[in-house]
Amino acid sequence: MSGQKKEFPITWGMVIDIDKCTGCGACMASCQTENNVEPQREASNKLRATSWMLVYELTNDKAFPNHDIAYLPRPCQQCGNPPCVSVCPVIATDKNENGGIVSQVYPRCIGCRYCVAACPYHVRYFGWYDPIWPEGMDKTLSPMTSVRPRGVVEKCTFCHHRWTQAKDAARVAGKDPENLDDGAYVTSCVQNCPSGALAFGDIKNPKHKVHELVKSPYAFRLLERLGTETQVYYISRREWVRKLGDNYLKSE
Amino acid sequence: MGLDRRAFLGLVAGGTVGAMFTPIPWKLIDDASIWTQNWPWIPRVPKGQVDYVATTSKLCPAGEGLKIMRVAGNPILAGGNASHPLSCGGVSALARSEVYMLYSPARIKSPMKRNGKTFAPITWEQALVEMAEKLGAAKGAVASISGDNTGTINEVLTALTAKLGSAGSFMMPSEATTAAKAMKLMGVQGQAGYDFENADMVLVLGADIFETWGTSSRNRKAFGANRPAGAKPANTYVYVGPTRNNTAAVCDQWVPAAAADLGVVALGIAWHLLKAGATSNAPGFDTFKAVVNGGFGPEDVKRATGIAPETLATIAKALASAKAPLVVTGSPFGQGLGAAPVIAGMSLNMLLGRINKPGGVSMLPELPSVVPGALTRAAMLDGDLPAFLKGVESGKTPAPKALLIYDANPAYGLPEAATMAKALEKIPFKVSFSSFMDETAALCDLVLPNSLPLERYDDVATPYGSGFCVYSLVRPIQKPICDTKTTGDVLLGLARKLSIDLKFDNFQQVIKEKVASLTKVSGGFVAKDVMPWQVAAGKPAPALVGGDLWKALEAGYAWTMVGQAAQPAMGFAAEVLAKAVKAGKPATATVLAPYAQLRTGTPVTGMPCQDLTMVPDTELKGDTTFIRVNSETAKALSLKKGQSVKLSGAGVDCQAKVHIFESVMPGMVAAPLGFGHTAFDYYSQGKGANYLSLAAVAEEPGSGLSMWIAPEVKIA
Amino acid sequence: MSIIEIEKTWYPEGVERCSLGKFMKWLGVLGVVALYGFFAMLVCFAYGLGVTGLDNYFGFGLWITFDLAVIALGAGAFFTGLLRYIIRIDELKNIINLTVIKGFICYSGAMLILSLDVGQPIRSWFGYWHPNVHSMLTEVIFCITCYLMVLIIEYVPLVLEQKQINKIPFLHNLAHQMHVVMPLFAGIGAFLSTFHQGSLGGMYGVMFARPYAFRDGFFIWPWTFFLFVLSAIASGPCMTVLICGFMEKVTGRKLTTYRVKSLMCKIGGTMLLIYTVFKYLDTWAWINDILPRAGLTFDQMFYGLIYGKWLFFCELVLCLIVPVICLLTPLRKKPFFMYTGAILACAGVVINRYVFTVQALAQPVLPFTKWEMYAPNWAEWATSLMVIAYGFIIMSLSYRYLPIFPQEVGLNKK
Repeated sequence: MSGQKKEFPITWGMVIDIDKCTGCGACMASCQTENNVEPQREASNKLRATSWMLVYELTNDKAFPNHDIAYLPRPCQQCGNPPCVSVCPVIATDKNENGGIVSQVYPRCIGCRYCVAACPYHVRYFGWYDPIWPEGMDKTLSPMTSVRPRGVVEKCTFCHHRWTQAKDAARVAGKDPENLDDGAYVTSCVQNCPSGALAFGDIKNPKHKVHELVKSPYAFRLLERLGTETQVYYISRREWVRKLGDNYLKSE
Repeated sequence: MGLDRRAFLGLVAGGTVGAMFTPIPWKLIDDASIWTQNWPWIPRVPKGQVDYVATTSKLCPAGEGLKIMRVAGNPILAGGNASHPLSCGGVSALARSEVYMLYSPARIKSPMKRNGKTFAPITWEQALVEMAEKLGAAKGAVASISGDNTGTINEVLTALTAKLGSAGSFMMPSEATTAAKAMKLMGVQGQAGYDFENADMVLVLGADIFETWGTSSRNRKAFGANRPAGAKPANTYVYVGPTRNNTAAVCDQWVPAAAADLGVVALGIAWHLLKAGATSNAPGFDTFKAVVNGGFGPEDVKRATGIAPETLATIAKALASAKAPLVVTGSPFGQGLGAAPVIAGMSLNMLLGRINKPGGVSMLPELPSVVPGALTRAAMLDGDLPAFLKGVESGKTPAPKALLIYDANPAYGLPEAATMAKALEKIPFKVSFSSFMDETAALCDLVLPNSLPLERYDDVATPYGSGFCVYSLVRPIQKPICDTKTTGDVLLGLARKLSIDLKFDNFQQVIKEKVASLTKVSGGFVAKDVMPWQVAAGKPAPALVGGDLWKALEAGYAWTMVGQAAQPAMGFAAEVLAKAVKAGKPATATVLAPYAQLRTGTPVTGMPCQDLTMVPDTELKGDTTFIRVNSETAKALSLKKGQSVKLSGAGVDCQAKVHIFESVMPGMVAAPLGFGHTAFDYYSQGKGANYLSLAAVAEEPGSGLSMWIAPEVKIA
Repeated sequence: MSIIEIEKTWYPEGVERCSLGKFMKWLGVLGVVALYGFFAMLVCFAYGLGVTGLDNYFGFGLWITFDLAVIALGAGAFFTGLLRYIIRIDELKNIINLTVIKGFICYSGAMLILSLDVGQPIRSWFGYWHPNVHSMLTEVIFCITCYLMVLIIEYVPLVLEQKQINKIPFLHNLAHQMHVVMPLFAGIGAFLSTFHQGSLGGMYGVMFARPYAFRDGFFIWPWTFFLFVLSAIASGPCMTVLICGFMEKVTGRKLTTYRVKSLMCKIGGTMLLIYTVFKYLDTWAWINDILPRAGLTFDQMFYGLIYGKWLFFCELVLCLIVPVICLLTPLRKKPFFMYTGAILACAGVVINRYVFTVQALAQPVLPFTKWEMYAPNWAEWATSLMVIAYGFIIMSLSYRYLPIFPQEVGLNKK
């Protein structure tokens, strides 16, 4: 049955300001190369393409001129109560580390795709084929993320390797690695977003900006009523955008 | 002694059971699981010392400063540079591609010479000899095209072309071309710079400022900085254009207007401002007032554009009451706009008193030239390439005998592609310096691949749209991977061969000289602790310590300078407006509203392979691109969702499928640019259609400028 | 003696079989289908699952539907075994062998497909080595592999009873001893099988972020756990009867009495009735509690033709109420109604497994996503057909050479 929300002293969270997102895709581009996702020739087949970070186009479904659109970047939501973790038969994915990032252990995954089925956010991607880089391009692979063989499931890890790096840097600087400064650890998409629409930090740390942002009256999470308790928050001053974050009955 | 069956079976059974007690089977099973993550065909990630070096993006027109992560000295990732004013940490999908594009399958691996329909590799020496011979013979009729708006390489290219006897040195048409023409007609010098950082109300007329127009990464940072998440924004952005594009999607208001009507909208707002008492002592104000009052009243504008009078009245009021309003005009797809709409938009800035003010517009001076005999940027921008090539095609202009093409892909990236291709065919000797096998390179006689930005010295000087003068360095952090050379070096070598003196031996010297010249410009400083927009807002500019400039640039800092050059007052150029801007009846034909996005690359880069994933399946599905119409237009044209259609214009047909998208004006067909390549690699080739080829070029009355802002198309 | 003559000595005592030539042709046809599927399987192993029609929306597709369906329909084995050996309904001895073979075929076939379906088959044993005890799938892996072993143990004595093999005293005795302990295995089998049938249902019921599939439940088991058990034991016996009837049609020989088949169908029908009651209750609670809690309506669970409501009514009316009437009323005495009832009962279970596998994934939970389509491609069909052909081959060989129908000799006396 659905488990309980897992609490950790540090809770890494992302806050995405939808009202600032132009939908350019720079976050996706950042993510793909940071995390060694292969360039995909048939990327227009969205049911097969791998994009740990994916920008959705939202619409208010009205006709011209009352139509409005918004863009919603969607990383792994790092649920507090992840639907994917309890279902994995081999503990290849877990939420057991301070920070609350849902892990994915590629060498452990047997590729049953039960987690893919369980996740309503579609953040989990399966390796349908072995990854192939154009000749020589594998020289630009990032040393921070392993290359996945085919047959395993992969997903956004909040650039977990950057956290490790940030902790190391803090230790070298004689600071407390468990109490990083705001901005010492941010994901690749957050760092490179040209609009500054993405913010990242420890939701529980009052010194971090996201600590306040998640309390905004305009903040919402995706599919809150399913009890997934995600660690990714969205902010929009537009009500129709906030309403698209969850399913509502007509009476609500 | 024989082994009977029973003994044999016993041995096998015993052996099996015995083996179970050894580590062998368990080790094998364990190993098997290790193999499954270490198959030899799965690439290994590199190991080694990680460090970061700075450079500037040259592939991305937004000119972001980059921090390149290296492992064991090899570039791995391109990230934004937080201390660079055109990046502030942000990086576009295109700039992100700088590293992996080193290994793009479309890269040209060595110099090549046309051999019938194919190319044969040659050596650089052979290439130089061949080129020297052909260019020597073509003297007096050598033309050049550059697609680089910001590099000092243009000085080398134009100086060489001039010494060879120039038939014209052209820049690929862009927002900068249009703006330069407008500024010239308004009687001022310099490049219009827009101070978004200090503006609190921005009226965007057409320009896709957050995607393709100018310094788009910096524009977005400026926009976002004053809009804290979830709080009331400290600035207001209004977008006027045919579609709710990436820019309009985040603006506070979208006013639908045809791209052809941008000038009308601007003058319609001017009417309200004038009525409210706005005045100016700039030359031509009286004529301007007469023009506006004569034909751009609220009802005129409504009839022409469909925009309700109160909409424009509200905008005019907001502009007039804002502390630092700013009006910026451009093409929704980054090219093809006439000069008049830019003049009309600039008139609003003049009425609002926004010239050379914080949060306003400044006429940024050109940085000093270092190569003798080179054209200035203004002079280059004054050329009209589409008009020139059309002239060549029709025989009105004599075809040059030789053409040098640098960082440009006119066979793909110009409107009226069929005409342009015919014109190029008439030029007997063409040399491309492209890094990638693009459509133009495929037509050339010699292809002399330029090293990529990470492999060469280059520079970025004040990209169009920047609110301040800015200069940043591009430097090699990787040895050329293929047999390529920095085109600057090749051109200087060629000059030597032809005994032409261009003062420099290699391109690095040119860049060093350029940097040295900056130290003599007064008011320049290195943006480190103080950013140029802070200086514009009144903070004192730090002093420049000359000797350190090169080092600072190498470290990824930018040289900047704020403010405009002393010059005569800007005029209204009302006579141009009177001829070119007409509040006529709205077009009845179907009008193409192209839109461009950095993620589909530029005509020079093709589709960066990683960016294909970013393209939604409402834009490209399989090998077909989608056009966008709203349901009203779809009904009028009897189009259905997903239907395959043929678009025709300028003698060219393009295939498309229909996507119903309500944020497109009625009667408009929005179409994505950047697709339909016939060259490059499998990430670009054959993906969709090049809708720019449908656009017919017309001459703008009053300015004579080529324009293709609102091409008519037929849909079947 | 010629080979043809020797082959005849392998038949069970006192029965007639078609000519060897005809039998070889039959096997040949099946072999071609199986080989094609085998080729598809090799392609999957060589290139990866990209050659299938599966994708990131439909990580589960035809294969999982097929697995769940055959495992449900194969449930006749454990349930009949339970009734025969533990509850001691003696009459079932006349059909128990068939159910065992069917069970063996279904489970071994499902295992084959599963090994294809996981992306890293070489790591399949991780389910034992690194088990997540909270995962329903772990339970499935445990139970299915264990139960397959039980089925092998149940199948082996049948093979040993083959006329020629049985002549070897050691094997004869072994077969006898195995028969003696069979109630033990029937018990183990019933336990394991109940659990994994349940866990298969539980797999879907626990997906709390997939409102189409999610169900509340009892302790750690969602209601689908019990529903899947019930539907499996309802359809299993019906499937056995259908196979038996089909074999009679093909061979032209009587294999069991109508009475036995009717009894099996009565058992199936009774279970189906119980299942129907609970399924209706469950559906009611799903519509009125689970869905509104998620902010969704019943109508939003269906879309277009493929995912239309017709399938829902097919499953809940045509394939539940109708077969219950056919199987539990005197209508059962007429073969047409009995077989129709059995077919509908089995079809209902297949639809049930399909909608839980595919429609549950197709239903867009995020409000800004849309229904997506899934179509299995040749690789999935070919491998599934391979398993069916494999089942036919095993069944044909077993029928030809093993004494699986005790009543056959008596019923076919001329």
